[in-house]
Amino acid sequence: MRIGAVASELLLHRYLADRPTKLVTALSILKSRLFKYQGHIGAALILGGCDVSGPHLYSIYPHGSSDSLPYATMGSGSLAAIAVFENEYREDLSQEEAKGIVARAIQAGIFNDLGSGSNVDLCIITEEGVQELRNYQTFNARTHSCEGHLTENFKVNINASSVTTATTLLLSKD
Amino acid sequence: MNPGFSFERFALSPSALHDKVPTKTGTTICGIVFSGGVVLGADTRSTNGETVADKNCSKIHYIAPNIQCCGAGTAADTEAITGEMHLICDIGLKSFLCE
Repeated sequence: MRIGAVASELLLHRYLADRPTKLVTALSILKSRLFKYQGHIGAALILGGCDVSGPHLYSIYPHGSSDSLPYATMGSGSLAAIAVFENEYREDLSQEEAKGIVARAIQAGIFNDLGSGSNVDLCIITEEGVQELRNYQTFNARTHSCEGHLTENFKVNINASSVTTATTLLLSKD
Repeated sequence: MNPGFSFERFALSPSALHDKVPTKTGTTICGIVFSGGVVLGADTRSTNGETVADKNCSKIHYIAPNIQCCGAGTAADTEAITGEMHLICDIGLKSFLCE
């Protein structure tokens, strides 16, 4: 038992030493951990990356099942997002086309699902490396800023409202 | 290997888990494979019931130099499991196997 554990550990360690971690390694560890907790770890994941066998994309459900698909969506906005993919996906997309489709899929979630909102984040993973595009699109920027930095639209001038009547009441100390 | 949660006491009080109201969560995450790689996408809203907790949170998590992971569901769980995954990929599988 112990020898088996050590042997597999060395095998896996060699894997790690020789080349970047394979996607399936990460996938099987995540799956076994989620399955072990029988859905009590409420994590719905989309795992993406490039390794020796090319680009891969996996979706992992909270109970430990997984899919390997050319496009995947998760979360409450997944229906809105998958509608965009079903409509626009085709084989051999260029990087710019893929970015456009993903951004539109997230936009569909932001505008049509109440649980999703704010900005679009993108992450492009190729053989060359990772490019993180934090706040790639911001459709929900503030229309006014905080106190002390009021814009013209929200500025209220002194004496903007006129006084019609004024009454003075004297309060007795008793 | 650690078996995870213990369900032994579940038979004693079956209502303990069944009476619990499920947590309502919301997110949009997606990914697509193109000819040379993968594009992942996520929104940036974090909710607590009907309240927006964070208007600009990050849902694309780092795992390894060539792997990233989008998380939907309970934020604490997605953060924890992707963080753990990052450590496993970084320091090797030793701690995971010896558990």
